[in-house]
This record gives sequence, C-alpha cells and structure tokens, in this order.
Amino acid sequence: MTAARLQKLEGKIVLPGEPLATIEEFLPEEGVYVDNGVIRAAIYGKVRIDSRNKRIRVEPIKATLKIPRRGEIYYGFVSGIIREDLALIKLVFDSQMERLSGTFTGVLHLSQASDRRIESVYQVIRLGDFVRVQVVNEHPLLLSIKQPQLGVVAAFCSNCGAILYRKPGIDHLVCKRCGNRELRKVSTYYMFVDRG
Amino acid sequence: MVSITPWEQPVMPKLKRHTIASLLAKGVRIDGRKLEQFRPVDITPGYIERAEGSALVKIGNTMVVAGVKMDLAEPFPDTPNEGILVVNAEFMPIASPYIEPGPPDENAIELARIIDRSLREMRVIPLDKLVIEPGKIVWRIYVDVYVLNHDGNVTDAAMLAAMAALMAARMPGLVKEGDEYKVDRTRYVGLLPVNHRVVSVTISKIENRLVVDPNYEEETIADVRLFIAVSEDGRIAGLQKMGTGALTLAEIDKAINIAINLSKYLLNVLEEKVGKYRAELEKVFAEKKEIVIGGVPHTTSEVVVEGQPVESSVEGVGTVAVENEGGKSREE
Amino acid sequence: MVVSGEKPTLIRKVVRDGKEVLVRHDGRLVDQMRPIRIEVGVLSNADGSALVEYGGTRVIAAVYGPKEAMPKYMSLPDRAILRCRYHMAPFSTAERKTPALTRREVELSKVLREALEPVVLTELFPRAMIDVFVEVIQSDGGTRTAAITAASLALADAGVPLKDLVAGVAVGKVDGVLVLDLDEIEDNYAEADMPVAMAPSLNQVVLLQMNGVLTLEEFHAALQLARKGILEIYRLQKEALRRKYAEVKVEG
Repeated sequence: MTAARLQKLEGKIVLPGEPLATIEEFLPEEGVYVDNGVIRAAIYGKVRIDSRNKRIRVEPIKATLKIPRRGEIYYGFVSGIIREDLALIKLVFDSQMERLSGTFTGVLHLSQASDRRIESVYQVIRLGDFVRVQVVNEHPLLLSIKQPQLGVVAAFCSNCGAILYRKPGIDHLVCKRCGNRELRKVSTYYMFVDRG
Repeated sequence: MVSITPWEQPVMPKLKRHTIASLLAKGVRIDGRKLEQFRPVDITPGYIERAEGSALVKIGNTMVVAGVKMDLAEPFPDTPNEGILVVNAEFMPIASPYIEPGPPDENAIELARIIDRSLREMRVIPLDKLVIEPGKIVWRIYVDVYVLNHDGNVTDAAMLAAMAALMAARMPGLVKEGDEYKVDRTRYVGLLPVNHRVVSVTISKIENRLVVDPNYEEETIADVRLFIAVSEDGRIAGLQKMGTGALTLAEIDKAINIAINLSKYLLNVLEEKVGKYRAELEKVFAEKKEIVIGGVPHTTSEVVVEGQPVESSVEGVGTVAVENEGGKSREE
Repeated sequence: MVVSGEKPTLIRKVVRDGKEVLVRHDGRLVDQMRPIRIEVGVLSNADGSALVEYGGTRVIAAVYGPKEAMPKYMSLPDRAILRCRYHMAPFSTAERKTPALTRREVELSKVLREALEPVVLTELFPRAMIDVFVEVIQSDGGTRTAAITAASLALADAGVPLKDLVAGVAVGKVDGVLVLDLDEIEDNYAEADMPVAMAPSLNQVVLLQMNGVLTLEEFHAALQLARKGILEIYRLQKEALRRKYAEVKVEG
C-alpha cells in the first residue's frame, strides 16, 4: 500500500460494504469485517488507522450501539433475587442515563456485591432498587457493584414503597413516610439525599 | 380480555418525578415550556395522495398520520338513513421501543373510540348525506389513525389528524352498473361534507399541577389525564378521564377552561393548514366538477407511432450500461 | 380502479427528440425508475430509521436493538436473531386494506428478514434480538423493494454492523417489454414481475422472487436491468447517509 493511499484512508468517511484494504495490509478491528481477503467497512463512520501496529477500524459517527461491554457502567433495576447469593439486574440506561435499545438482564453474584463479607445479597440490595453496575463479563452477562461509585442509587422502602433517603453520617437509608430504616450497598451516586 | 393496571412502566420518569414536580411548582416544564403551552404543531394535509383524505400531524416529536378511505356498504338496520363512520387507531411498533407488534391493545382501542365519539356526537360528518339508497346502500367512511412516533400526547395529535384527514377528504365517483353500485376510483367528484371542526386538548395532572401536551416523560408520571374535545363553537364534544388518578370538581372546571382556551389555538392551526387546503379543493371542484386520477394518462404531447401494444422483445434493455461500483465484485 | 376487464395499453412507441422510443404509460422510458427520495433518521424514538419513496410508494422503516431477546428462549447462543414485520397501513392502497396482517404481509415479512440475514453481522451479538419494522404508508407498486431499501438504511442508521447496504427494485415484463421499477398499474397487468434486491458492493442477490413467466433470455436481461436500477438506488442510499452525517456534524 502506498503512503498516499494510506493517508487518504485515515479519517475517511465510509459506509457499510466499502472496501478499505486487504488482510495482508492490516489487522481488522472494530467496525470492519473481512470478505474474501478484503477488509470492508461494516458501519458508517471514520476510518482509523494505527500504522505502527498495522491495525484498521471504523469509528462510528453516531453514538455507538448500546450493548453491554466488559468494563462499562450501566444503570438498571433489581428484577429478581433467585437465590441468597444471586440477583438479576435489568439494565435500562447507559452511564450517561441514555435509554438502551432494549433491556439486558445481568447476574449479580454475592462475591461481586460488596467489598465486605456478607451472607446474602439481601444485605446490599432489594427487589426494585435502581443500581449503578459495572460489567465484568459479557457472556454470560455478569455484573459488579463492589466499587464505591457502584451500588444502589435509588431505593424504595420495603414497607411502604416510598423513596428512601440517605442522611449524611448515617449508615442506613431512611424512609420519610414511615420512618423505616434499611441497609444497602449505597453508591456515591445515590440520588436522594436528605441534608435537612 | 381484561384490563390490568399497567405494571411494566418505563422507569426513568419515575425517578425524574421530583425534578419534574419541583420545576412545575415554579411554573416551568422539563423542556422549558409553560404549563399551558403546546409544542410546535404542524399539519400536512393530503400526505397520502392515494387516500381519499389524509393528514400528517406533528406535535413536537410525536407523529401521527391519519387516512380516510371510503367504500360502499349496507347501512346498519337501526340507521337505514345514515352512512357509516368507522374509526380505527393503532400504535405502530415503529413508534416506540415500548410498543410490541400485534393487534390493537386497550390503549389503541380507547383512542379510536374517544375520537369516534367526538366526531359522531357532534355530527362532524353529516351521515344522512352519505346515503345512496336508504336501507340498501350507503357510503362507509373509514378513518385510520396511525401513530408513527410516540413522544407523548398522542390523543391530541390523533384527534387533530383524524379531523384534518376528514376535512381534506374527497368523495370518489359512483357508477351504477345494472342494479349494482360501484366506486369509481379514477375520479373524485367533490368534497366529503364536514359540518364542524372538533379538536381536543388533553389535560394532564402531574403532582397536582395541570399541564397540556405532555412529552413522553411527563405523560408517564401523570396521575390522571382528561381528554376534552371542543368544537369550533366552543361546545364540549367529548370527555374521557384516563390514568390511575382522580380529579376534583374544581380541577375539572379549570381543565375545561384551559381546553376551551387552547382549542382556539389548535383550531387556528387547523384552519391555516387544512381549512385553506380544503378551500382550494373546493375551488377546483367548483370549476371542473371532478378530479381525474389513476387511469392511464398517456403523454399526449408526443407523436404516437403505434397505438397498439408493441411486439414482444427484449431490445428495450439493449442499451443498459452496467458499471460496477464500490470495488471489485466476487466473480472478477 | 373500476374493473372494466379491458387491459389498457401500457407501452407505446413514440417519437422523442427525433428518435423512436418505447414509452410507458407515465412517460418513463423502459429502463427508467420513478423519482426516488430517501431520508434517514426520520423517527426520534427509533435507534435507526429511514423513509423511502419510489414515486407514489412510500415506506418507513425503524430499527430497535440489538437488545435482549424476549422471551429469553427465543435466542441463539452464537448470533443475534432478527425480527421483521412488513405491514401496510389500511389507507395505503386503493381499496382499504384490513389493518390485520394478511398472508401476503406474513410472507413478505419473512422475505424481508431473509434478505437482511445475509448482510447483518449477527454473530457480533449473541443472544440478542434486532427488530426491523417496516410500515407501508402509501403503496403504488414495488413496496417490498422499497421496504428492503429502507430497512437496510435504518439498520445502518442504528449503527448495526452490515456487510453492505441492500437496495431493491422490481423488474417486469409489460406489453412484452422488460421494464424497470413497475408501478401498480404495470404490476397489475404485467406478464411477469420480478423483485430483486442486492448487496451491491458484494455483488450478491439477497432477494429474488418472480410472479409470471420469462424466457431464459428475458430473465438474464431482466436481472441486468434490475442491477442497473439497484446501483443507482445504492448511490442514493449512500448519499442520504452522508447527508445525515453532515447534519450530525453541524449539530455537534
């Protein structure tokens, strides 16, 4: 491949099906596919070339597809607690609170639920809680709430269903309606804080 | 089929409820509008050229298209001297991630029925003028309302689309062959008679505040919605309370006042966009008596060499030049 | 139409610019398509959408996903599943069509899905589902080919990885002559009607149906004619996507 052609390719806007290079020239990465030895664009976006490592990819122009990928942060609801050590979480928003195309159900295991030693996931989450999670595995979809910024961001009272508030200096979440107190693995992103 | 409390609701708006409510308390909406302010309203009459009448309505991002089709039918035994009006509504699966393909659900059926009642009870369409032979054959008017993009307040958009489509509707020709009547779909012979203009203003109650034209998020957290259809002469043509909440008598009074006020705005848009369109059509019918469509309108400016069908041949494609675009093909 | 039983003359020989040419009932040449209009990203809720017009035919396609397959047993461990629906609005046709799915629509939904399967890189999304819904808003012949053109654009707009866009057009034999992009009247009286859709860059046919009878020679010529139309539509598709990109850049 001539340097001139390579230079023309970098940053070029391409559309699905467009031939970019051959597999002899580059290692295909995201946004491209190989057909009969030819690397073609799979999405509409900008060609990005890593000439040192001989890699080629197409960077999407519109926001990327919202499919849970390892390391990414999502928001979701606790949709089921199937065992003492397993909870199901339905992911509905990405880290920017943008709606996902559909929902994705992931699994939260006890071992990923707290950095402290706990006996049951009920000690950190309850059914219906809104949680901030990180993807630790894609297939199957495994989630973690261990880190401080992960965990419950909105919780509802088990007694009356009202929103629970976090009070500075208190471990428990407090229900303003019925006075109930409950424990959660609360994220630093918790949405309802009562400073009064 | 039974009606069940909606249990699977979009969740984000619930969490935003506080934000939305505290803004409403200051008289501001989440998108910066005032409580009694519509998003931009746009109507395109005649959007479906092949339908007798049609309109595309946009209220903000909400998009609804309505089409009017007509055919002949036997009148109902209890109304032998009236034509038939059928309103059907559907939420298309393209309209929202929360809509599944399938037959109309309770929301679609309710929507169709509240529009139907508002049109029927006002006698918007004089059905008695649609009789061909009493008790035997009458015109049947179908109004199909399709929600293309659901961003809240589908009811008002749908009502507006149905009304606009009817105002834009033309009557197809009618031919009698022996004893049988047939629709002549090659020509339109006049406008569908329309007696009244009816629009709706649906008032939503969110945290004890009354707002109009909610977007999807607002609509999801509204406790109760009151559909109010208003005619051009300021009468109430239809009502429907929807949602899980309730309204006080004072709230209802206030809601109706808001609706009657804002109906003037919608009626103005309707007149501006569709009334003029209808007047134009009226002029054409007054001059020409009919509008010919379909058929086989051959270009007359050219000299016809042979009037008869040409000989079978594949020569017509002899000049096709095939260029290959976008790189090498597999075979090459 | 009033069914009179008499077939109108659909193709005539006329003198145009001093030359004898075959002209169709609407003034088009035999290898001429109707005006085509394409708009990408027309629906705010959908992940991807497109509006496509072939003359009087108007369709809207929307894509939702990839998302979790629902119900869960409806999933494959090594690829995404596609869920397609082709549907015509009741007001789209001359006579009102029933809103419920007809046998024709059920078949076309399958044909549409199987035209998309070869180009969507489904293996990138195991256990997921991609919804492709097409609504025919107005029908004047060639709705399934407009549908596939719109569906592939909606997928591209959604950012779903594709091997290629798909463009479709119908060819047919009318009054003994092969014509491109039949409208409804031509379709009604055609001796043969053959919708074709291709992934043009890969030179592969992904949709092929025929209703009627053609000689082998006619079939070859028809396929070439279809390919010519498809390449033109493909060019318009790419133009529409680039136009959409230009808008995004301005906003950003």
